[in-house]
Amino acid sequence: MPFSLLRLGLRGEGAFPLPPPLPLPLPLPGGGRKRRKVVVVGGGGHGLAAAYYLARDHGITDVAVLEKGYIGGGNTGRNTTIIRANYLTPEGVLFYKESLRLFEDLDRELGVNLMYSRRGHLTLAHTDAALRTARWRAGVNQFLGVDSRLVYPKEIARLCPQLNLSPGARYPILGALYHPPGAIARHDAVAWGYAKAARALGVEIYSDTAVTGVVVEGGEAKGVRTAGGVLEAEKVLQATAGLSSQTAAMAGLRLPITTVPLQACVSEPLKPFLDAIVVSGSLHTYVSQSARGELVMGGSADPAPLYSTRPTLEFKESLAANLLELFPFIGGVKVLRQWAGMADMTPDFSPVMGVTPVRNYFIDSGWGTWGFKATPAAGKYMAQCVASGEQPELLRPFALSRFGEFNLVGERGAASVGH
Amino acid sequence: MKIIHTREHGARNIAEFVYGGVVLREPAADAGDAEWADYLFIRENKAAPCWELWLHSPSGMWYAVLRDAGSDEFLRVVLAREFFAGGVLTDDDAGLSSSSSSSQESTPSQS
Repeated sequence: MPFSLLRLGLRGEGAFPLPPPLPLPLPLPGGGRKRRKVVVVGGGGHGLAAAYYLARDHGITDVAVLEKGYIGGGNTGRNTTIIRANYLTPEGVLFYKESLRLFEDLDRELGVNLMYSRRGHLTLAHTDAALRTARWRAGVNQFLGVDSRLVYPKEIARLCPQLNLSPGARYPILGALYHPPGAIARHDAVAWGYAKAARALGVEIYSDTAVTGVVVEGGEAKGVRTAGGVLEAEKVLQATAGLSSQTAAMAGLRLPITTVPLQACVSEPLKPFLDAIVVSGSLHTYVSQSARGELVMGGSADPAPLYSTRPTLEFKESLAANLLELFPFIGGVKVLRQWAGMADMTPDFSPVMGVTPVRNYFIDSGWGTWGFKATPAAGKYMAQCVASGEQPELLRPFALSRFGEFNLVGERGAASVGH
Repeated sequence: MKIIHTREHGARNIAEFVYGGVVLREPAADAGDAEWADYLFIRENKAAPCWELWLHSPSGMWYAVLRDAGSDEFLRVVLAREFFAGGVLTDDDAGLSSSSSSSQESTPSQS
């Protein structure tokens, strides 16, 4: 190890400055103030981003973020880090386009290296039906100003020569939806970056602080319960992907959400060989190569609801079989780590965000398999929602009330789900 | 590999089963929009035992399964037609559901 690197390590100031240690546990109700303007339940990327934008855009710095575990330890750190905007519904495309825009400048803004890496995103089509959907998505994307187009095997061979493009394959590749801005980033760093920037603006962040109840009086949220007592709040925002139903139940809300495990794994590190992000809906597979050289691989969500983060052999068997269709030469590569996240699936594969029937209680939920890429936009517009008390225009299609109105947003551009 | 025990087929690999959703009581045909929206979209989604439908694909037989969505344990596996006929439920089942601080969805008598 070079001496200078050792010195840098011992000094504790690297390229990735960590947030300073957080006070534990929450000093309530004795020493601390018992009231905050806004309490955010959930210290993942979304909750921390909302806290940051509340402070930056709306001047609301009297904010406490309460996290049951450690920051970014939930689904923020369990996704496969893909960032893209090439969805199918105009509502979805506009929302993710805004998120992509915010992501592209985020490391500069937060002062943390997110290792944001623009790779190009290929959604492979193996059937005429998939090709038709790809053409449809390309049309919607282009109309709304998102760089996305249909490509055929000759160009796919140029963009990703590693793919098995043989017409004799079991599921031959007929074409693909190509989305040049598709990117990956270091997901934990997004949570750390927002935490760091939010703290710099005066936001308080408490890890190891579980919310055990929500105080609702007369149809209005008044605060949250913790082991340290009641923390009163003018407004409460829940951002607890994976536990959305359980958190909402504390406020007396029932959600259109089913929680299912979504599994993923990484391979041992390999020399860089795969630039593009490759997705195949028909083969239930998506894969990219991280900056560390690991292949980050995901498949379809588990079939039945479950509150668990256990991985299964069945998942890896089907993932391996499908991946070898695309990249036959990785047969000898070993799996290094495996995990699962709890994905809050909605009936229309779109999030549930904004105001609720409980006054001053706001939700950021239903993030199924599409939450990480939404982090900046969800934070920014949920902050606007909390500050104004009204549903922002960009989030209007995703309101909880859409289900009672039978006005769903059928997002068939979502990953890992059968349509 | 997870093994599911059925009376009809013995111990079978879970790969032979297809999940068919939670057991819900369908609203009356003339029920209002709110009730239908609730039935179609809203789920209790608790980490607790809940009655579900599973298809044993090779035999084409539907099962009613009491499964714990917190632990993934299959607590009861009975033929769906017997479940809906009400013949297999005992007081123990009712006790299991009510003592598990559970929901309407996981109460067999509600189905």
